[in-house]
Amino acid sequence: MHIPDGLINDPRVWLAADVVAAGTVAYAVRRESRALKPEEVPLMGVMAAFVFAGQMLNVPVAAGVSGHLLGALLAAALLGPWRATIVMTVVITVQCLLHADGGFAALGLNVINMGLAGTLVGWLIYRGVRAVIAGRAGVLLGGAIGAWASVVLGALLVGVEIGLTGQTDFVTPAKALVIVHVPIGLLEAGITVGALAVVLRARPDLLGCAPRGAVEAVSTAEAAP
Amino acid sequence: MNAIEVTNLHYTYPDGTHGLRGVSLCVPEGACLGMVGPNGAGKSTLLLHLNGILNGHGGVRVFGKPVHEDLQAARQIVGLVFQNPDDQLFMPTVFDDVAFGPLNLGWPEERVREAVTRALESVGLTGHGDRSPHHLSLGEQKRASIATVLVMDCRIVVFDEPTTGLDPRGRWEFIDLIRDLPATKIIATHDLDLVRELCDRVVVMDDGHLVAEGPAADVLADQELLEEHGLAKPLDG
Amino acid sequence: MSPCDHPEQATRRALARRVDPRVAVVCVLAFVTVQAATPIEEWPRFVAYAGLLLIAVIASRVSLVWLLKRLALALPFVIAVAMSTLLVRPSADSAVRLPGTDLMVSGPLLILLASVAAKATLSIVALSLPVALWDFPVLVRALQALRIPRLFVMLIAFMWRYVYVLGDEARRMVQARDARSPRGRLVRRVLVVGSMAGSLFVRGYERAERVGQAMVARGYDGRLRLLVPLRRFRAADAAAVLVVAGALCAMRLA
Ligand SMILES: Nc1ncnc2c1ncn2[C@@H]1O[C@H](COP(=O)(O)OP(=O)(O)OP(=O)(O)O)[C@@H](O)[C@H]1O
Ligand SMILES: [Mg+2]
Repeated sequence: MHIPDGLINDPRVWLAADVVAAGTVAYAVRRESRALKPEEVPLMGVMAAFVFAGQMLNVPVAAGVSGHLLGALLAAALLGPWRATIVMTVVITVQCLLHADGGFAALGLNVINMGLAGTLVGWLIYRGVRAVIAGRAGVLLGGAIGAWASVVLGALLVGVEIGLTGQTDFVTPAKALVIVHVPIGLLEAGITVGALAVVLRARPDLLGCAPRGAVEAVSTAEAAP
Repeated sequence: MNAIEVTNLHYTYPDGTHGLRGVSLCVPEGACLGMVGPNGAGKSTLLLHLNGILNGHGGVRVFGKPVHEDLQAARQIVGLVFQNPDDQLFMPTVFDDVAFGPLNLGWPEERVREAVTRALESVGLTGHGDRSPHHLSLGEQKRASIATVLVMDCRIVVFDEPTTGLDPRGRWEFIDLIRDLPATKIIATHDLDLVRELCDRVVVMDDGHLVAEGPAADVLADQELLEEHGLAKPLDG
Repeated sequence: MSPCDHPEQATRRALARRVDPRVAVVCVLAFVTVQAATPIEEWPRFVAYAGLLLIAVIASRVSLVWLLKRLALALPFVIAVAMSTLLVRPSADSAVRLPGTDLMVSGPLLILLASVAAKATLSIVALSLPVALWDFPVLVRALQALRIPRLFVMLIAFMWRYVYVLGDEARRMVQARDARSPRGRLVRRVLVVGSMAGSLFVRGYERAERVGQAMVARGYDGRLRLLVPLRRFRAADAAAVLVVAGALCAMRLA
């Protein structure tokens, strides 16, 4: 879903997105810099590496097709919305500059679609579900719905952005993209739930839950439910 | 004068695990102290107190001064080499990593460059400054880790399991490097031969306690003690 | 795991390496932005952009194969737009005849296809050049010298260092999984990957705590201090700035 340069052909659209994204990220940086303890900087850096490396964990879906985690909602659940926003921005920027994955003019669009849609909107949904359903069930359900919604919302935003250029109507690209991303969102939800379940078991404190008995060691794939 | 003085130190991790349950220890200046004990004995926990990264109940003094009176000064005196180079080397290049401590101490640029060059030379990594830590072999990573501490001219150097994962040659190179180091040394390790080779005194830890202390030759000859704390295979019959 | 393809040996002796990396990064970003902002209908300009870029590519001595591999990233989008050009029935007022055929296609979609094909290609090739020419630590220094917010410089540096460590762990987990039972129901496969991600996170988190301790042990107080070797600007730098700025201006005004 990394939008390359040229897909959104109207400079006004991507310039506006760049401004919105830069403003939001600047706010996040100013807000978090004040509260950031020295040892939390390596934490955020390692989390950016985690999102990057987590995308290497592929799920074989069908022959030749595989999917992977995008991670915006997971990052927000674990770090809070603003820090996750900074982390996702770093990941998306480095992917653009290092891999040429996603355009540079389109960077703002990509930060909005793949970052903010999950770290802010997805996170609001996650918190909303947790406010209604307490405890571990709330974390898992909120994570699932938030993750699914963040992917589908990201796709919807791409559709709207294409529509805004006036080259097509709004409905056709949005409809096509959303249909494709409904199952991709389910994949994201599944991976996010699996990850949150492990964190709940090993480090419930990081999700604001009380430890359940003794802390267990985390093992690798056997930790699957 | 004692380089390090620990009195009745207790530490409990946030999750309730008891790391240390009352440890007292003196290390005279210029000594080389070995610290042995089974996994989970509390060795790493104790080492993290020596320059104030953890702050338990009890006293830790460095050259007579309580560590927490002036943390920055204590960290300049006590250098800590972590067990895993992936924790110790966190910068994009070896040069940046070795320069990290001196820059934090506010040294001028020229002095930093000189010190880094000298430290890399002393661990045999001259010319590797521009390489990335993850492209080094484990032995090179371990030596780079040591350089990050040597560069600060620490009067006390603390090593946490310095030889795990090294091949025999790397291990011998490490032993030679440490033997010539003019500093007070504390080495936590499972490698009893290393202790025999380098250390004059040894402490044995188990379950957050210090259970034995004495000259290296005596402690390492005490088969019963070593068996009791899982450091030697019980002899049959 | 390699977070970036490493510069090939050939680029080590390239002419373009005489330019200061800071200058090169600024030139590339300016080029990408200007070309992306150019209306695709003004196609002669894109010929000129391509010519300018070709000079830079030749001066950088990057291999064609390497560039083509990177260009593959834009391929799905080009294909998707091309497909919709053929599939979407054009409205009466926007239909144009495809030259040489009887096919009527939507004019705006055709423009979109040209736009994504041209601009994505130019953008990807241009963005690839600094990565091909310099090692990542050099580029981090360039970003720092360009006054990118310090927090970002630090996060990018940490991220690059630990992508290797966590990437290795991720790869080992995938290998361990594939060595045992790669199949099973889809839901289960997804949840297994989820728990691998969870383990990766917990390990990463605990690693970050230890890294923080190692930094504090060496006197870290929250400010990252890096020695930035600030080289004087040289003739090659001035030449690069002049050529790129002049060419971009000329193309905008022409
Ligand atoms: N971050 C932590 N949080 C909670 N408990 C911890 C933490 N680090 C260590 N512990 C616990 O504290 C105790 C002492 O651990 P420590 O790491 O000091 O042992 P060690 O002697 O260094 O062992 P090893 O030889 O395995 O390195 C152990 O029971 C360990 O599980
Ligand atoms: Mg230990």
